[in-house]
Amino acid sequence: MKPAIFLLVPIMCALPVVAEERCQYLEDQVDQANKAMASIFADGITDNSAPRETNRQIKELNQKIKQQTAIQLAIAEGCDTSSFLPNDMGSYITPALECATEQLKGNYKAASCEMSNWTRSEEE
Amino acid sequence: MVQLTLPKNSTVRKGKTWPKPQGATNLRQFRIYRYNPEEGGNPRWDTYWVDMDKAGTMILDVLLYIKNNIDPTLAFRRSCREGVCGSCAMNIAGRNTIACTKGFDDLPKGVITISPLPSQPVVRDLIPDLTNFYAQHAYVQPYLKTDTPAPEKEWKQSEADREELNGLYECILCASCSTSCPSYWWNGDKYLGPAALLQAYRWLIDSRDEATGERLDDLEDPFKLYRCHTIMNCAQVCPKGLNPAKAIAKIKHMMVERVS
Repeated sequence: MKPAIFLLVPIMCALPVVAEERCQYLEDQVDQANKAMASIFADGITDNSAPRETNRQIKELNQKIKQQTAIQLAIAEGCDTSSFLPNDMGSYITPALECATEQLKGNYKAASCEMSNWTRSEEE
Repeated sequence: MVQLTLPKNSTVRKGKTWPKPQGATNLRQFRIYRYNPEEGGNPRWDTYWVDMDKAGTMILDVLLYIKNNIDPTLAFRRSCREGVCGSCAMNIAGRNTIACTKGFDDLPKGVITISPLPSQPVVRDLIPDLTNFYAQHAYVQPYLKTDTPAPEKEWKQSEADREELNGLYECILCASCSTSCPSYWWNGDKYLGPAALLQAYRWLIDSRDEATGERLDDLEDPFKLYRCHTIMNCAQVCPKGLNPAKAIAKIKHMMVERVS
């Protein structure tokens, strides 16, 4: 029994940290989906043909389902989801458009297309 | 047991070839699906030669020419002859469309085949039985539903809200889209199909309607909405240039948004 108790104690101490990391990870997933949705929207500025437009709707829908899954997992993990911002692509429209503009110029590896550098634009 | 071939009485056989008109120089060959359940027997392809200098410019003109001058027994629906009523929807040269707005310049060279809308029971010749299609349209309750008492004059709507209905309200219920959809062919009894779902979305986003939740509840089902796999045959064939696939995707968005 003793070795088992020795093993359990450190695991139980580490649990809150792991849970916190998981909550942060899930919140990041929601945010990444917002960025992806902004990027999908920006791609459509120059092409609104029926097939591409519908395809974008489906891509956007997939990101929303991803957000929904992340939120449900977060609730199951007991995370505080009040800081999660689903369906908020509007905050990333500016960097998404900058990236789309660069890509139109043929610059597919532009720095502005690195989503990890995108910052949320605050409402005035 | 799975039936992989058509029953014997469904096989389309070669039918009658009508004689070429005398002295015509601009001839075009048409193969038209003929079936009369009252006569019994199999459906058949009848061949007609039409003098294009006399027939007019649209496929409906040709059908009328054939009916008036060659074979009065040919049956097809028609009414407005200007793309508004949707009555003359049929499969022309392999694509569903309405005969009255389909001109010859849009068609491939060679023999032109004309058959009824696919996947629906045939009443006679080019007339499909659209009972199920209309029942599905009725299912989405295509009318304004409100709880608040009706205003004295009219329900008002902002210009922006009205604009949301563009690309939706124009549907003429010709059934070209639904009957071009393979999902609808296989699950037409359970999947509502592009036309009914386009109408469903038209009422879901109407700013004056107050039954959005109820309408979404009615579509929440593995079949009614989710059999659309976005292959977009519907958008490709719509004679009014509408995009039901996009409307269906938008309904799916609404479903996700109301859960999260």
